[in-house]
Formats: sequence, structure tokens, C-alpha cells
Amino acid sequence: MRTTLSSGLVATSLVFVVAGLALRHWQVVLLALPPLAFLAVGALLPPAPPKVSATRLVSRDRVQARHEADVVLEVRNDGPGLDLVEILDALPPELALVRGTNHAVVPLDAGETLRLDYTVRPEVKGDYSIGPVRVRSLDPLYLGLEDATVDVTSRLVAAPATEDVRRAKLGPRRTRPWYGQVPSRQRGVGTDFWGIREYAPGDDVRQLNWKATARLDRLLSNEYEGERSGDVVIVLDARRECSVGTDADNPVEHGVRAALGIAEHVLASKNRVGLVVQRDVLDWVHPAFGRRQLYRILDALIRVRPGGQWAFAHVAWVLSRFFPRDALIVVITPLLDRASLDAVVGLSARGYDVAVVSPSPLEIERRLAREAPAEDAAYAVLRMERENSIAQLRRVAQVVDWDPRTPLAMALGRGRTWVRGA
Amino acid sequence: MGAGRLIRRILRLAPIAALAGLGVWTLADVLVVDRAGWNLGLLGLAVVALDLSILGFAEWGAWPRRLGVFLFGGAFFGARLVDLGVEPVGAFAYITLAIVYVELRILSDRFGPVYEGSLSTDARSAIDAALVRQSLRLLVAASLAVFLPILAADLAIAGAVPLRSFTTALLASAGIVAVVVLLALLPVLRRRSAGVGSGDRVQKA
Repeated sequence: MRTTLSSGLVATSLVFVVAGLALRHWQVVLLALPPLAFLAVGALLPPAPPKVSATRLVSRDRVQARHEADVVLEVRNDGPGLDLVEILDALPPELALVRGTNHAVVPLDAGETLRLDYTVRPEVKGDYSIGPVRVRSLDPLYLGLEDATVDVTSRLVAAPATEDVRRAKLGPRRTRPWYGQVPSRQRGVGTDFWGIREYAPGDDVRQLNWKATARLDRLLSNEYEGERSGDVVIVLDARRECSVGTDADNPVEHGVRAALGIAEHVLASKNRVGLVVQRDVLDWVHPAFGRRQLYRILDALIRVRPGGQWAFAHVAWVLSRFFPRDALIVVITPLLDRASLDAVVGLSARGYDVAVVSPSPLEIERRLAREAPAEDAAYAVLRMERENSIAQLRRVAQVVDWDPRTPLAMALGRGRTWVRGA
Repeated sequence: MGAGRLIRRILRLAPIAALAGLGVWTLADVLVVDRAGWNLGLLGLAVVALDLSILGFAEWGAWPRRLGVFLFGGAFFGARLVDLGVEPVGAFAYITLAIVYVELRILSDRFGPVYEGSLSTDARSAIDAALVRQSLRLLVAASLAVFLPILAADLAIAGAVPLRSFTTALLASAGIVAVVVLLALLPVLRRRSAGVGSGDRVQKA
């Protein structure tokens, strides 16, 4: 294939020839020779079509975002010798090259193998594909080229970092019949003292309240507060409107971290967790228990990118159709528009127990903005508007205003109203 | 300073130096044009070319850079044809410098990113060797581009080839056009004879 430079040289030569003839100036005709000399040298060593094979080895197929993975690419020339070949292992823009190189320009003899070692670091979570390998055979003066693609791809899944919320007290307000760790305000199997009743045949001896028995001279048993489990449904707002900030620092990325941390904590407390994500598509994970459910939620969250315009009415419909009525709905939204506020109010009006975790887009934008008095004034006005919205929402839901620079556990602790007794 | 950084810096500076040479040469010629009306026009053309070249280096894309080179050429040959007269050796060197600038630019774009990352010793030596070979070939091509036309001009002046008659000039031009067309079509003809089509370009590993 000819390059633009080659066509340019041909055109320049012809222009000089035509101009020389038109002007009847033989010296101008001779000016066509320098470009011709370059074309001739280029034509002496034409690029051969590359016939190569490649193998790629990635040290890990799953890493946490901002952690590194090593890649070894071996490209073997199965065809004739290539005078100059450019090899590029295509990387998605989210994968930063930390060490080594995925790009080389070298000669490659027949049967020779080139090895490229490099290390990549995913800047944000995601499901990435490394490759294909692009090979371009060039002539010495870039006057001709031959392209080939070796369709070898490798998958690298970057899991989002998790917010550590182990110390935060959060959990469903309403319980279901299954045993768990949430006090149910009903008698049952548990550890917290509830009251004393007459001994009944079949009571465990360890349940006997010996002090009360001795004082009243009849057998009395302790009763405990039953500990049950409940359901939590996390609704993650990843609409296009939430795309504020950079790829790695935006409300959706922080929302994903929060969702994963909350899911992990709630599942560890033997509750069921479900997930609804508003993105290009509206997808959801049904509530379930256990470690496997955490992986299901993680897989759903890995693919989340800001985008789409699903209305909250669809979320409400999905919640009413597929999720339990008495679940705690945790809406993770930056509260950037009126629709998200109305949605929380609407869910509360339908009888759902609603909590809101709001990664503050204001703090993200403030970090990115330059220092200026006008910026400070704008920030103050927007801060006031946001506080006003949050104050409205606090009448119907528990709201956590979270600056993503700080740990989520700290913001949850500041709220102190996250868990309410049933 | 490490060798890699030095090479990277040279690769970045070489095209800039070539373009600066081209610009200075053009401005020097344009400034001595003595014909009223033309001198200001040609100077304006050279200044526009200079602006476009600077814009091209300031991440404005490739087209201002390319247009800048063409305008420099236009100003230079305009000055030569209008007032100064075509001096073949200088003109050959000028055209060669313009082509070398483009080649250096391509070399810089191709090899510059490779030297950005840390390289293993084997890869580094292979890439170094490729760069040296490319530079040597460019040097050979540039030398040929200057000396071959000088030789042709010498032959013409010596009368070995009576190029001064219009008929022979036409024949010589037809020959040059044929060579140009042949060189332009060579890759296509070679690929057809080898039976390589676009469908063969994707291979499974």
C-alpha cells in the first residue's frame, strides 16, 4: 500500500516536470529528480506482507483497580524476513503502561521471535481486552507499508476498590423470618436479653434465670430478642447526568465503591442484598445471601459506566415487581437533578424504607477547578442548593452526604440515623 | 542523561531543526527579492508558512504542518522564478531538505514513543539497530537526491544529452513521467503478482 508521502513525492515530481515544460525551463524539469531518487531508494526494499503469530501471557486475569499486571507478548515471524516492522499490542485507554513497552519498531528475520515485556495498571475498574496485535511492515523511507492484525486477545478484569464500612452500623430496618443478626424487636433466638417468663418444659437449662428463680422460688426462664435477617436493595444511579469529573474520579466510580462496600458488609451480617443499576441498560441482581452473591454484584458493578437516561419510574417499577416490599432501599446518587430527588420522595411515599448515599459531585468538581474567587462564590451557592435538597430529603429518608475523599464509614458514622429499630 | 532520553530528545529536535533550516533559507531568499509587488507577497507567503508550521508543532494536527511546508516551497520557488533565477544545486538541496524534514518527522513519530517506556536490553538493542539503519538509509537517499540531479545537470550542460532542444526536453520529460508512474505503481503490481489480497491480512495466531 502506498503512503501519503509516496503520493506526495510523485505529485511533486509531476508538478516540476509540467512546470518545466510550461516555462520551457530545463532546470525546473531536473527538479523532479530529488523526489524520484527517494522513490527509487524506497522501491529497492519494498515491504513484505507480514505473516506473524503471537502469544500473550498475562500474570493475572483479575486485579483490583490501580494494581498492576505483567504482560509478556511474543511475536514470531512465520513469513519472509521483514526489513522494518512496527508491532503494537493494542491497549484500552484505561490501562496505563507502567513499565516496559507494548510498541516496537524492529527488523524481524524469518523465524525470529520478538519478546515484549510490559506492566499495565487499570486506572478504573472494568472488563478490559488486551489486543489484538497490530503489525505493520514498512519500507526504509515510509513510502509503502503492509498491515496485518494478529487476532490474539486477553481479558483483564479490574475489580473496583471497596469502601471499608465494617465499623459502620448499617442494615435493614425491617426483618424477615430467617435467622440473622438484626434485632427484630420480637422474642426469639438471639443474644440480647428481652424478658423473663415462666419455665416451660423443653426450655434449655442454660436459659434458666437462677437469680429470679431463687428470689421468687419458682422456675423462670430468660427470653431473648430474636435476631433475624432482612433485605437490602442497592440502587445505583449511573445515568449520563452523573458523569461529573474524570474517568477515575466521578460520582459513579465512587458510587460503585460504596455499593460494593455496603453489599459486602450487609451480606456479612447474614442479610440478603440485591442490586439495581441505572446505566445504558437497567440491570438488576435479585436479592440473595452469601459470598456468591457478592461476586454476582461485583460482576454487575464492574461493567458500570456513566451513560443512558433510564427514568426513575422504571426503577420503581422493577423494585415493585421483582424485589421484596420490606427491603431497605439504598439509593446511591449524586442528587444532581430534580428527578433523583423526586424518585426518593416517590419511593418513600410508596412505603419503602429508603436511605440515600450521595457522593458529592460538588467536592469532586471543586478539586478539579482552579482556585479563584468566582469559583469559591459558585461553590458556596451550589453548596447551599445541595444542602437545601438534602434537608428536604431528610424528611422522608436517611441521607448521607459523602465527600468521596473521606472514607464512607466516617460519613455513615456522622449520620447516626442509619439503623432504626423495627 | 541516559542514552534513551538523549535519543528521544534528538528524535524530537531533528525535524524541528530541519524545518527551521527550511524556514531560514526561504526567508533569506525572499528578503532579497527586489521586484516591487512580488517581494511583499512572497514575504507574506513565507510568514504564513512559518505561522502554520508553528501551529502544527503546537498540537494543531498535521495539516497546518504540511501546508506550511508547501507554502515555504511556494515562496522559495516563487522568489527563484520571479527574481533570483533557478540555481539547480541550491534547488536540489532545498527539495531534499524538505523531504528529509518529512522523513525525520515520520521517524520521530515512529521511534519517539518506543523510547518513552523502559525497554528490556534485547528489545532496546534491536530498536537501536533499526533506528541507526533507518538513519543511514535516509542519509543515503538524501545524498542520492542531491548528487544524481547534479550529475544529470552536468551531463546536460556538457552536451552529453542535448537537453536544451525542446524535442529532447519533451522526450526526457516523458521518460521521467514514465519512471514516476512506474515507481508509483510498483507496490500494486508487486502485490498483484504475489497474489496478496486484503483478505489475507488477518491471520489467526
